[in-house]
Amino acid sequence: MTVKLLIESSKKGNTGIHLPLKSNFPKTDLHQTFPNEWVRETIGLPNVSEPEVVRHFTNLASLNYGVDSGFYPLGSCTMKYNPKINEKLANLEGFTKTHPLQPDFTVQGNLYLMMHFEQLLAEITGMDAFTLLPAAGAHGELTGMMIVKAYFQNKGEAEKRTKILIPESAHGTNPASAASVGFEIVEVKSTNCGGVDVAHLKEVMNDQVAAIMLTNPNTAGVFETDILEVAEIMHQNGSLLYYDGANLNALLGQVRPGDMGFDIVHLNLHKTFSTPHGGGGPGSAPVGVKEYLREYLPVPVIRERNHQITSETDQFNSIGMIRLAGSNFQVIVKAYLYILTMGSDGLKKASSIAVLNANYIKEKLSPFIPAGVPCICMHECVLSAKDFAPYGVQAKDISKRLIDYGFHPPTNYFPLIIPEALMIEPTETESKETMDHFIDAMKKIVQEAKENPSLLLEAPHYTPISRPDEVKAAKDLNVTY
Amino acid sequence: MRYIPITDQDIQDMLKETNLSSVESLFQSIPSSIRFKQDLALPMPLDEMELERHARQIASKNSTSQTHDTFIGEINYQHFIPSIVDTLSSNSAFYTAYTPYQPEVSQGTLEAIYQFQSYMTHLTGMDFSNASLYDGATAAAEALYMLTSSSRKKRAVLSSTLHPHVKEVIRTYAKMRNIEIEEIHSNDGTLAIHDAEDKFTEQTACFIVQIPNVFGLIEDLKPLYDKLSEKKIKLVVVILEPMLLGALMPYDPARVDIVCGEAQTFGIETCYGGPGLGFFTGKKELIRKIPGRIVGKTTDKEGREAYVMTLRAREQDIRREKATSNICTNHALNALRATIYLSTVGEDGLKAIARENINISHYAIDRIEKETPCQIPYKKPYFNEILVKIPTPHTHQEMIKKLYEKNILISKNNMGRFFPYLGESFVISFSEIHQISQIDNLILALKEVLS
Amino acid sequence: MSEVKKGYIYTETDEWVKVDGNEVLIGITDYAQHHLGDIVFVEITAEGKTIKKGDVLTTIESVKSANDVFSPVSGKVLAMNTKLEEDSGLINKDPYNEGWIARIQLANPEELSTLMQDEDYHQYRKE
Repeated sequence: MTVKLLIESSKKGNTGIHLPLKSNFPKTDLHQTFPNEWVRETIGLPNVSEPEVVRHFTNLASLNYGVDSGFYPLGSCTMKYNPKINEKLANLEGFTKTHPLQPDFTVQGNLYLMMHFEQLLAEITGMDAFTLLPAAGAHGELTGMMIVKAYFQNKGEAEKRTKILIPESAHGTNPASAASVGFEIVEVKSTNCGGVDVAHLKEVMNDQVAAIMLTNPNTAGVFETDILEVAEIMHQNGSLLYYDGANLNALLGQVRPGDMGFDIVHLNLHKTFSTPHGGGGPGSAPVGVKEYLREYLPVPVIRERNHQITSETDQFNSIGMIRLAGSNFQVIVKAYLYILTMGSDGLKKASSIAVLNANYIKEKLSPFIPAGVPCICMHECVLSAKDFAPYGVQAKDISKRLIDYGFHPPTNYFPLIIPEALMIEPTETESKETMDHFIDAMKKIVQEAKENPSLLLEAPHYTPISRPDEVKAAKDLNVTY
Repeated sequence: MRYIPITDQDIQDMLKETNLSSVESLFQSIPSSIRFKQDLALPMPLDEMELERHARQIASKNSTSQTHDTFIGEINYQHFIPSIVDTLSSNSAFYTAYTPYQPEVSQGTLEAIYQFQSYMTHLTGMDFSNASLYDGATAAAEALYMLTSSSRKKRAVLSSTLHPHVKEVIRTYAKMRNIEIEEIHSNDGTLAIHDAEDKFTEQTACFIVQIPNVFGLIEDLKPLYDKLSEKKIKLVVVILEPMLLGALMPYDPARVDIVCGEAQTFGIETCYGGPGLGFFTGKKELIRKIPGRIVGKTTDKEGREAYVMTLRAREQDIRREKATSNICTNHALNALRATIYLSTVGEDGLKAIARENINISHYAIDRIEKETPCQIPYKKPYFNEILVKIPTPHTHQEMIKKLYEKNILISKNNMGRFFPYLGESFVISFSEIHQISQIDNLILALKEVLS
Repeated sequence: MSEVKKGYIYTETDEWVKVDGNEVLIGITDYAQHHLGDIVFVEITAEGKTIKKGDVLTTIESVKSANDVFSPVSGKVLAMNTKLEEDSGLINKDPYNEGWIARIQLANPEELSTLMQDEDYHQYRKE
């Protein structure tokens, strides 16, 4: 059961604002000012009163499950707690009521915050320069790939360097981003821990390789132990290393991408730095580079001279603009405040506990559902439900049954290299008691799977809707009222 | 610790229960030569009170539309936002959720997006809308990628009257794929139709035009429709101020293929440019090629109405390098804000607000032309903003400074920098937030500054 | 156990070919449709095109995947099965008959000898 659409409650004469508008301005006659056929009388929006709107969206919210509702161990998404003070302060009018085209001297507060944030990120990652422009992880990757392209163009090697290496365990966004800007993808085999198969890397290496895109810890949640060797192989070949920051939460203050040999990184502020996921965005994904790539960063760039901070577009060799003026500034404010709250000790503690929590869950659960890889995991662990096939139970059924127990399911079927994957990322913001409840629920579900699999196959049982028909959705497309 | 509910005792218990020797042992796979052993050089941590003080101090260094009369638009627009937009969108069941991959616990987000798609589709007159994109410029660039790759043509034509930011983003994206870009010149501030003749070729995938254009003028696309369809060129209309659509529909939806752009104007703060709200609507035959998420209505196993993300096979997590776009996210929370905004003002409210924007801007711009030394070089139909030319020998920089002293903020973009033939000029923008006294002050200030 | 049609020849990427003189009919195997699950969309835009062996003939979408169908032969695409536009589920229901995808005029009949006979394909996909 869903909530009735507002258009179905629409009534002529209802409105959520004061109508007619109070106005002291003379009316412009639309028919005299514009061609008649432009003037519009109907649109197709509802007419509803304020209390109806409030109830509608409050009811919709009640159908949602967020981090504030309960445990949300969605692997590779880092669903950590979103601090409320950061929400409040990011909504200060001093920030929200500024316009991106205000002259620089009137937004020195914003520019200071951004400049300082860039410096903090450089310290945390071991990189030299940052841009805060990219709007999301995929946009960060796209920006990074554009920088790779511009770098080789400037070296006169663009014609030759056409390939990007991507481990087969990588998230699909990596190959999609590299292909978006015209690179060819070469898949590198993965080890049984999801890492780069160094022997295969050497095999596919040649002078056409522009860069490799890596996530570390990799998508199986395991640290890339051969990272220094990989970096050496790449750099000796004149190629670059790109760091997908999806899993940086495991490493904050423990080891820095810049020290591992990465040339370009993107960070997901909505994962590692606690800004809310918003139901699927907006995020923000600053991109950091080593000094020799600074000149390729997109514009505008932030500079300081004579105690004035400016946002400037004159940067020779820049890849250019990648979005309208501004950044996802409000997200940046929240991440900045998070870092100021945590400090060095806090960030180190966050990564330590994130890793401890994941290992705790893995050790407790692996006797019941085997781990997908035979290695120490970092901030997330992958279990494989392949042994449940005889009961007709798949990973997704376990996930759906978890909803009945009050938990958000883990990530399913990723990474692709692990069959029937259940990827669990608890983050550091969960208590031992919450994790113990989750572990108990998983054990019960394992028991149910063997004794009464239909409990899983028909789950979830207590939600307003269950197992919507995705085939029908795709065949009989209905995407608007 | 404040955000980390694991005590030292918990750590000991957890290690013991799992036979792990220490937390440090979990990091043993990191080569010791690169382990970061010292402290990160970050400021000392702040408590909540200190943090608030610090943030307020930074924010107070900004001028805002609350402290100054602000007449800036171009890419982001200041409109009144009903308070329930903030109240409802700050429900943490919305903002602390992730992408609705599990429909059973995400019907709230999904149904909100379905309504967002419906509203945008009705506003633009297209057949479908996606669940939103990053912003107006990247939406246009995604349209370019989509139409060039689906048609296998390597050429696109832009209107020279696109906002320079949109144009530059498109060019950044285009050069990555060696897509050839040409521009159609303008004449008196709008498209020079005759210039289109030899630039539209069989190899042209699409033509991208903005309404209202960079000078605030509403392009008349009618003379172009046949020229485009003759050569099978897709028409992309970019709109950065869709408030316009509450009063006017200045194109024929039947002749347009994609309408995309920026919908920040609907209930979202300008917030120094972000996060905004890209939108992307189009004709149904294109739906399987589009970037980004889309929500569809279906039924569940018991026949109940339900919403799910659909046409997922296009997306990057499934199709990898063959995906239609690398985009994963939508700006869901801002799409929610726009949906709440459009629901609240409703059909009649949006029409009234859009008309009020026309009333105010036409009143104010009339007075600027009649009472101040400023010129309005292009007098063609416009919505709520227009290009203003600064009389010599005055400069845009000087205007910014002097108007600021009179408590007025104007755009930092000197249009003469992007269009040298214009000389010193800028775009001035009005909306329903402006009162008559503010217009009086503006007129007076312009007169004094330019005397 | 999925069906292998006698008399058809097969590719390693699970397409079948039915030879009819100088023309061939092409589809995907029962094994492949099973693997894909409910098919929701088939692109049928290749008619009239000249295509090389191994080129992507079309893309088949299920709810959670999109898979390329590679042309087992070179030649001109004489027709695509337009019925699939209405009902892509025909591939699930009847992959070897009603669910055919394309008819191609052979440019190079020798290519057929590189494909698998039904027995070999049966062995190849025996689980």
